[in-house]
Amino acid sequence: MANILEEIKKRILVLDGAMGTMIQQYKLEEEDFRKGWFEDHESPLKGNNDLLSLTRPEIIKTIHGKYFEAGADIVETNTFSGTWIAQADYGLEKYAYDINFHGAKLAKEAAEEYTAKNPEKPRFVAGSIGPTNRTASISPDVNNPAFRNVSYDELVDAYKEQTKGLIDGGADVLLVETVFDTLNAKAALFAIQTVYEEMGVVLPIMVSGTITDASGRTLTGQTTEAFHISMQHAPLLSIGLNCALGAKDMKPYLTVLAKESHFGVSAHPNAGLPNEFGEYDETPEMMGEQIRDFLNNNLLNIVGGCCGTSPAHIKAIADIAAEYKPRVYQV
Amino acid sequence: MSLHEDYKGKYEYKWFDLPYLKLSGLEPLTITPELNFVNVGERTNVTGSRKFLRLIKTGEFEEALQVARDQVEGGAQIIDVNMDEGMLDGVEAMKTFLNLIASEPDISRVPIMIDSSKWEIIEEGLKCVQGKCIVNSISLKGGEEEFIRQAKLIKKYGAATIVMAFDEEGQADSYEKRIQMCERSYRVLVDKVDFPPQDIIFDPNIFPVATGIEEHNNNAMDFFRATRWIRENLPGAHVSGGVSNVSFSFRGNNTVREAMHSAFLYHAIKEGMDMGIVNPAMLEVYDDIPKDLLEHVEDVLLNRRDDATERLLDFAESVVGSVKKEEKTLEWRTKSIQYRL
Repeated sequence: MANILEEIKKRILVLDGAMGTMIQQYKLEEEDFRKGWFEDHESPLKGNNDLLSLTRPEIIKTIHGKYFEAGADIVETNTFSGTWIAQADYGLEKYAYDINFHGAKLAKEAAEEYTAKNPEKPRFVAGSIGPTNRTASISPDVNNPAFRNVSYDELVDAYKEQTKGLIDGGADVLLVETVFDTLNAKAALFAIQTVYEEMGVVLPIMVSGTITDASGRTLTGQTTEAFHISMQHAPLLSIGLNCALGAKDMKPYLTVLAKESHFGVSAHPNAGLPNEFGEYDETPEMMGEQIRDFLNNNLLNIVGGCCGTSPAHIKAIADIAAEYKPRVYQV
Repeated sequence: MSLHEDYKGKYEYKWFDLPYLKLSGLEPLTITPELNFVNVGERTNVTGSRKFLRLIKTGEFEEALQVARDQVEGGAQIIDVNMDEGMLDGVEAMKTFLNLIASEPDISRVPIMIDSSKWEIIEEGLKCVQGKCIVNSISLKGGEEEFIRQAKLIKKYGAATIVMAFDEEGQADSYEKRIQMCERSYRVLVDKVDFPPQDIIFDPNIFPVATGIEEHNNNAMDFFRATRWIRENLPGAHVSGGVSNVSFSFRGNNTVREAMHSAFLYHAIKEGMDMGIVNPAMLEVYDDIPKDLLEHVEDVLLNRRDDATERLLDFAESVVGSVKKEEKTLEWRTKSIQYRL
């Protein structure tokens, strides 16, 4: 099987776009989120998109296929909230493993089909590991700044389960993404490395942080460079940025990573900033030209899209990426 | 010239094939040779500050945070946090204080040094800090197996570490033992743990001088020479130490203590010490130390004459009495009023 460590040296790898935007088009109802798994669950499940890998797997697999068709080298599993911590909101803590196992399995099936169609362009599955809905560095209680509603140990426990599910399901890479609290991400790296020791398996790891606004900092206050230093202890395939910002606003921070890092650098920006209806309206052409600017500046090894991006955006990005050589870095 | 017979001049950094030690709070701190010396604030330490201990014990955390804030504003580039006190639940105190620091951007912008002799307190600290911190410290004291276990965990948590010159037999108290224990620790860390060499910071034991015990006369010299050897022979490794210890026998005479600290650092930095736990308020400017005091202090630190201790003790009486020194002392008292209680 082709190795992503080799592929990343040869070309700029293209990551897929948003899963949520695609799911919206199916106009799914409550029953779609329950089918065959949670028929009698006591609370509403609509909107818990990770469940669709279990209840409507054909939809998720079709979406993965659309992104591969558009030219993506890597698709992300539908597991962004696949920890017992994030699933606790729905009372589905005990399904975290299933979400990850089946999420990875579906993506892997799609990847294998496309690799078989064109072995010259091997496709990969990145197991998506989101930040959870809790933060280990910030107190949710203004009157008690020392309080935390999640501990490092709980995060490690949840991320270990997620990692095992993703590996068992066939993920090729793990992607710790949308990092708004570096301490959560450190717990994820700790968990991943622990699972590697226990299972005797090692997959490449990607980390992608989120710079929240023009302050140039993560939600928990770190600069891009401080974030990078806090993540350097693990052997990463890449470090990068995603979400919150459109491509244009990400450039200064990607420039820092491209200069500092001895890992690959990735970006999967939003399709611009949301308009007053919370929608993203940057077209594939507009986004593509901003990505071209990144590539002209030799900033990237991996590029894709986050909120508001579609297969059309990914096709525009993939076509442009094919014209460029990847950023060169010393490992 | 170097205080170590095998080397010449001031230490020049030479490990450019290795990355620099990089730390972070909210902001990055890269330890480049140009920084020369990184000072670590020592006041948020319950074993070293009675005031800080009282604040932690009584739960006056706003005040305790102010101690940390004052250090950062006063120029500390890293802050050391220590909760090793028998009357405290150290694990809980470390967690609470580090969580509080995390919500104070004017403090948490600098990296944290998690200081404890108890592994469970260190590990708790590592679970609370988003930046890349320094563990203070580990050593071969509990044997190689335990040392390896802890070092692997520190690497996995993503921190750098201080390594004490200490082994199964005890603390290194001579030049030879210092370099032997540091070299052994270095080889275990680099060869067996795959620990990044630039993330290793040795503490080759700063012990008191002028104690009246003859065996202590060469304590500072042994530290200086060991520092030089480490920096010349253990690629990428750094040298740190707790500076106030050297002047332990002059407690109560701050004029002498401040002069000793500055003179000690002046020589240690020339030999390659590039980090140190200091109280900036207890540090005289080297060039401002009166020549006669400096000579007596350096006689002791450099072990230049047999009667150095007696001569400094006699001289110390006289400096306390001088008018100029009273002003100086008063000035120090105003400067550090918040630390003294």
